[in-house]
Amino acid sequence: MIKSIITILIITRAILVLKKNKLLLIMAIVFLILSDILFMFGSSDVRIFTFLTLYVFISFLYKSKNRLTFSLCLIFLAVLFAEFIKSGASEKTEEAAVWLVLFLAVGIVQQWKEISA
Amino acid sequence: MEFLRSSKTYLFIISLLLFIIPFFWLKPGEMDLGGDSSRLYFYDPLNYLKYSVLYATQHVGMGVENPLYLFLPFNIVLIVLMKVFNSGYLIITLFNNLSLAVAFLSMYGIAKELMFGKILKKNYSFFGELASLFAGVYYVFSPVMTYGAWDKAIFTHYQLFLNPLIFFLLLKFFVTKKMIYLLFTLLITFIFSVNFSWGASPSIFAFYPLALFYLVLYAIHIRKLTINIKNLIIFSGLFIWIHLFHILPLVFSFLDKSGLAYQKVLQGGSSANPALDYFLGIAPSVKLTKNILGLPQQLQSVSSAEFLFFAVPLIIILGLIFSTYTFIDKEQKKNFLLLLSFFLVALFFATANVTTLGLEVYKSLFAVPGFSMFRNFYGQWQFAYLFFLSLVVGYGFFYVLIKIHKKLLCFILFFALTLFLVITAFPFIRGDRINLILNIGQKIEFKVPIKMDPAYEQVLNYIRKDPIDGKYITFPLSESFSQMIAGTQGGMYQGPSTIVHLTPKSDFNGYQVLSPFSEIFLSLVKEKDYDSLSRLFGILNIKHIFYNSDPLIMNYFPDFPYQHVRNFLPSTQMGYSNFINSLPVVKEKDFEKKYHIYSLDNNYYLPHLYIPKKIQAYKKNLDPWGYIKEAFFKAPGSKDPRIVYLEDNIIKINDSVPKINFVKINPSKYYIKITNAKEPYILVFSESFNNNWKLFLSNKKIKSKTVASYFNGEIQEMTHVNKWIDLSSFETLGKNPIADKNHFMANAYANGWYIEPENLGNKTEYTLVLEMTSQRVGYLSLFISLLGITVIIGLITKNILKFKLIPYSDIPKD
Repeated sequence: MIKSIITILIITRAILVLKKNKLLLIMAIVFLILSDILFMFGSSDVRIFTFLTLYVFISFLYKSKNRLTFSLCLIFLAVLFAEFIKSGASEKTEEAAVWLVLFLAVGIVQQWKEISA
Repeated sequence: MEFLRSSKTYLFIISLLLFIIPFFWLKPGEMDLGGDSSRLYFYDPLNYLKYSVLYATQHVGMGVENPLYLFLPFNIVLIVLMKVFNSGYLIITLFNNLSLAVAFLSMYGIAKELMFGKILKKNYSFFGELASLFAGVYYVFSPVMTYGAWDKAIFTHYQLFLNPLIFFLLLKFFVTKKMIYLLFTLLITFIFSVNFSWGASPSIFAFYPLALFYLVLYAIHIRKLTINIKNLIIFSGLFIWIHLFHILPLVFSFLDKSGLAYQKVLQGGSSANPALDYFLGIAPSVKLTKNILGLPQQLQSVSSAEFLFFAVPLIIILGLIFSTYTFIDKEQKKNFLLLLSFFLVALFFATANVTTLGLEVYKSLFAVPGFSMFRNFYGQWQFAYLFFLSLVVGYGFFYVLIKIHKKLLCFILFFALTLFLVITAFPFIRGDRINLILNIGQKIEFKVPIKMDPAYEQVLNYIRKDPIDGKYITFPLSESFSQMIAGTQGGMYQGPSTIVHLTPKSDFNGYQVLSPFSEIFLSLVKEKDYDSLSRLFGILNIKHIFYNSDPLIMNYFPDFPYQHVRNFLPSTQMGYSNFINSLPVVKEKDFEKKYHIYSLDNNYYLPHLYIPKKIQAYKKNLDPWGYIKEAFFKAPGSKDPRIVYLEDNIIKINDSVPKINFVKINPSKYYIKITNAKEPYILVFSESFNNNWKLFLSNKKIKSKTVASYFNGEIQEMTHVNKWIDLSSFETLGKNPIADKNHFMANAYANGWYIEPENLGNKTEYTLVLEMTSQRVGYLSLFISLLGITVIIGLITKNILKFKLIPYSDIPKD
C-alpha cells in the first residue's frame, strides 16, 4: 500500500518536473532526433517510433500548438536540405525525410484537433 | 491596362502558351510512333481499326485471343480527325496540346473551386486566383510530369489530363448536383475507354478510389453538402452500360478460362510472390527525399539547380504555419489538412520505403488479391501523388500569399516561381522528351519521330492486297517484338509489327513472337538446317518473308533489339541476304532496293487450313521458359508436308483425304467446303489453340474464285474478304459445334479437329463455319454500348438545350 502511494507520488512529482521544463524537454527530443539523423548509423524503427511517441506524449502533456510541430518540420527540412546538398538522396537525407513526413502527419492531427475545438 | 489586373488574362495567356508549346516538338510531317503501344493509330487510324481493333483475335504471330474493342471510340475519333486534318503529325500535336492545356485548366478549376468553395473573403480572392494558377502551372511543369513517359507515350499516359479533368467534373457534380457534369464524365470515359479498362487498372485504382474518397469527405465534412446517391447510382449504371463493350468480353474471358485476361491474372501474373519479388527489387531505389521535393525518381539529377525544389515542401510547411494566423473559414483550413492527409497517403504508396514498418505494411498488402498490379508502384502512383502534391502546393501558396498580403510582392513571388518551373522544364518545352535518341553514342543517331518512308507505305499496300491467307516473317528478326523502319528524315520506328497492325496478315517479327519455337528456330539457323527451317515455316503457315535490307536499321544498333539473336542470326545485311537466299524461296517483289518480299516454296508451305495425310507423334519437351527443346518436325520421312504432329498418337487416319476449299470472312471466321469426306480425317487450323475456335455446319455455298491451289488442287484458297459484320454473322447462334470433344492441340500450338463422318450425318460434301465464338460477345457488347452512348449523347443534348432555354430574366443578377 505504502509502496503504491510512493510510486504515485514519484510519478506525480515527475510529471510536475516535466511540466516545468517544457522547453528543455522539447529541445532534448529535437536533439535526440537530430542525433538519429546525423550521427546514428542506419535507420531504426525502434528509435524513430520511441522518439515520436515521446514527442506526441509531451505535446499532449503541454498541450502544445501545431505551430511548434510545423516549426520543427522546418528544422528537419533544413537538415534535409543540407544533407541533400552534401550527399544527394543518401541514407541520412532519407532519414531526415522520414522525420519530416512523420512530423507533418503529427502536425496535421494537431491542427485538425485545434480547429475542431 | 485593366485587363492586366484580371486573373482571367493570365489564365488565357498560360493556356494559350501551353497549347502552342507542342507545335515546337515535332517538325511538320513527323510522328512519334513506336514503343509498346506502337501508336500506329495516329499514323493510319482506319487500317488500325480494320485490322487491329474490330476482332476478338490479334494476328500477332500464331494469333492470340485478345480483343482490342476498347480502342474503338478513340480510334473512331482519330479517323474523323484524320479526315479533317489528313495528317498524323497534326493529330499527335493536337492531343499533346490538349493534354497540357486541359491538365492545366482542370487543375486551376479544381484549386479554385476548393479555395473559393466556401465563400471566400473578397479581399482574399486575388490570392486564391494566383494560388489556383500556380497549382495548375506546377502540375504541368513539375519535373515528375515533364520527365515522365512522354516518349512513345502509351495510351494510359492520357491520365495526366484525364485525372484532373474527371476529378474536376465530379467535383462540380458534388457541389452543384447537376447531372450534366456526370454525363460529360461518361462521354469522356467512353472516348478514352482504354484509360478506364482492365489494362489501365493500376492507374485507375491508384487515383480514383483516393480521389472519390476525398470528394465524398470534402462534400460532407467541408461543404456540408448532401450527396445525391440516386444520381451516383445512375452514373455507375450508365458507366458500366457504355463500357460493356470491353467489360463483357473480359468477363467471358475469365469465365471461359482460355482468354488472355484469365491467363494473365490467374496464371502466374497475379501470384503474389513474383510481384512481391519485383516490388522488393525496385523499392530501395525509390527515394522519399525526391518524392517530397517533387522530383522524378528515374533521373539522377533534373538540373544543377534542383536544390531549389526545396521550395515545394517549404511552401507547404509555411502554408500550414501561416494558416493558423489567417482569419479564414475553419472549414477551409480543414480542407487543406484533408488534402495534405490524402497527399501523405499517395506519397506513402508512391514511395513504399517510409520506415521499416511502412515497408512491411506495403509488403503485406501484396497478399490482397489484385494488389500485385502495383508491383511497379512508383510508375503507377506517381500521377495520383503529383495530383495531390499540386493541390497541396497550391493551397500552401495561398496561405503564404495571404501572409505576404502585398499584391505586388505576391505577384513577383508567383512570377518568380513560375519562371523557375518554366526554366527547369525547358528541355520539355523544347521537345526533348519527344525527340529522344534511340541509339545514343552511335556514329549515326536516330530519333523517335519519323516521317514514314513512301516506299514502305507501298509495301504495306502490297501486303494488304496479297490474296493468300498466309503469314509473314520479318527479317532482320528482333529479340523482342520490335520492328525497325528507318524514316526519311533521320527518324526510326521501333515498335510492334506494322504488318500486324495495319494489314490483315500475321507477322513473326521477333524472337518472343516465335514462342514456343523461338529457341528451336535460332538453333536451326545456327546449324544451317534450311530444310527443317522451311518445314517450321510450313507448320507456322509462313508463306512470305519480308526482308528490310536497309543497312541503317542494323549497323547502328549493336544492342537492342538484336543483342541475343545476333549470336545465331546474321549480324549484317549481307549475311541476311545470303541466309534468305539459302532458303527455298522465290523473290516476289522489290521496293526501291530496300524492302523485299519473298515467297516460300509450295513444297514446304502448309495453308492456314489443311487436312494432314500422316500423323506423327512427338514428345513436347519444354525448357523452363516454355520453349520447345527438340525440332520434332525434322526428317518426317515424307516429302508431302501435310503431316500433323500430335502428342498422343491414338488416332488413325486414311491416306486418302477429302478436298477442302476455304475462304476467310474475317480473322474470326472462315468457311470451309469439304468434299469427298468418306473416312475420318483431321482438320488443322494453324492459329494458336483456343477452345473458342469452333466448327459448325453451314448451309452457305462458297461461290468465290480460287486464288491459290495446293497439292494438285486438294486444298484451294478462295478470294478472301474482310467483312466485319453482316446478316450471317450470327448464323451459328444456337447451333451445336461439330467435333468439339475432338478438338485438340496440333503441331504444338495449333488447332486440330478429328472429324468422323457420323459427326455430319455421314455426308460426304458440306460446308463448315470455323468461328472464334467470343467474337459474338464482341458484337453483342458493342451493340449494347452503342445504345448506351446514344442515350448519353441524347441526355447531354437535352441538358444543353434546357440550359439554353432559360430566359435571360431568370438568370440571377449577382
